[in-house]
Amino acid sequence: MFKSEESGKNQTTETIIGQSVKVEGDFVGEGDVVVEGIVIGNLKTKNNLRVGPQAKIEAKVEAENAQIAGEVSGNITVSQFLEIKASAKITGDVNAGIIAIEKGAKINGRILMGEAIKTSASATK
Amino acid sequence: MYLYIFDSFLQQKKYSKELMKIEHRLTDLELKGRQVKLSLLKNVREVIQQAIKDGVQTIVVVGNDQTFHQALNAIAGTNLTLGYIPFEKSSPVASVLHLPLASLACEVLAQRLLKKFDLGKINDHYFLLQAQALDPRITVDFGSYKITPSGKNQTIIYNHPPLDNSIRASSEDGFLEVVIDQTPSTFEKLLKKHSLPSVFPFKKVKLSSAEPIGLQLDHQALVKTPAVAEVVNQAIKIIVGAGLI
Repeated sequence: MFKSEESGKNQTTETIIGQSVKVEGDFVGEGDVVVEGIVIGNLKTKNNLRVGPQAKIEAKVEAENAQIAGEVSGNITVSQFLEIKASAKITGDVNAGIIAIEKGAKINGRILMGEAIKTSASATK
Repeated sequence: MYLYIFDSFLQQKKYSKELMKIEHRLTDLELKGRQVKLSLLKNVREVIQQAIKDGVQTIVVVGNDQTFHQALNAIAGTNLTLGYIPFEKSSPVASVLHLPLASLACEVLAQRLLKKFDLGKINDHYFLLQAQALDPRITVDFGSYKITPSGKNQTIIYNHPPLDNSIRASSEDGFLEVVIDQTPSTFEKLLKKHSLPSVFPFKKVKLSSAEPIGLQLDHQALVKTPAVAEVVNQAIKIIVGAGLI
């Protein structure tokens, strides 16, 4: 989903919210989004979302595909594939088409899945 | 019709040989035109305004990036073409436009490879490459959300990617990019650790701060917050080197 992310020259990523940045409000990204910092409000993208292990999100999250390794307080809606890494802490409901959860991940909320979930972002594509 | 604007520092004796070379080369290439030498009494904006009235189509700056920046601001948004014969060895503009120095740049003028560039605009001042905030305490408001850097950061707005291509940006995509890069601590420098810079593509944002902060445009001009930064699509035509096409 996210290639060559270690080099910092990711050709597919469009928006990067780094560790030293706080985003407040309704963030809507057109392309891929990588979050390593703080987001408060709403976070939506029509494409891929990656939440790094140091990230803290207090927001409703919507994406087509997502990989979550940090803290999320808010409902998560992913229309296709959601990967929850071992370091993830999620407080809120999770809606996804397909989910993979690593051992050690913490989820406090409902998990709904099965058919492809339409997000409000992808519905307007 | 060409207008050549010669920077005032070129009047020094050490440049006379190179200027003669340029003159001969322009004659050989049939690129001769009107020539104006800048001085305390003649500034770039006035010279270009007069040139527009006289029907000049191509302005060529002969000198340094500072004068190029002034010319760019004078003709942005018009239908004029901008050329450059750089004299600065470490000119970022010459590197970006793939231009050789001094008389060698005449060959580039002769090839006349044109490229349209987006420009960044902050409070009626244009920039081609980047705008750098001189203080980290700046807030960027995108309308529906805003970003507040914390700690020691460097905030730069890119129109064109930096020379090391470390940031993905383009001066043809209709977007500018706000890049917030954290200054590494001594400990991080020892460990050779550097966190990912933040990158936010945008078309228009508001820049604000508790006290006015300077924004340096293309390492030349200075504007202060509060400011509005926006992209102006295809705002200028520039003669570039073959390596850029």
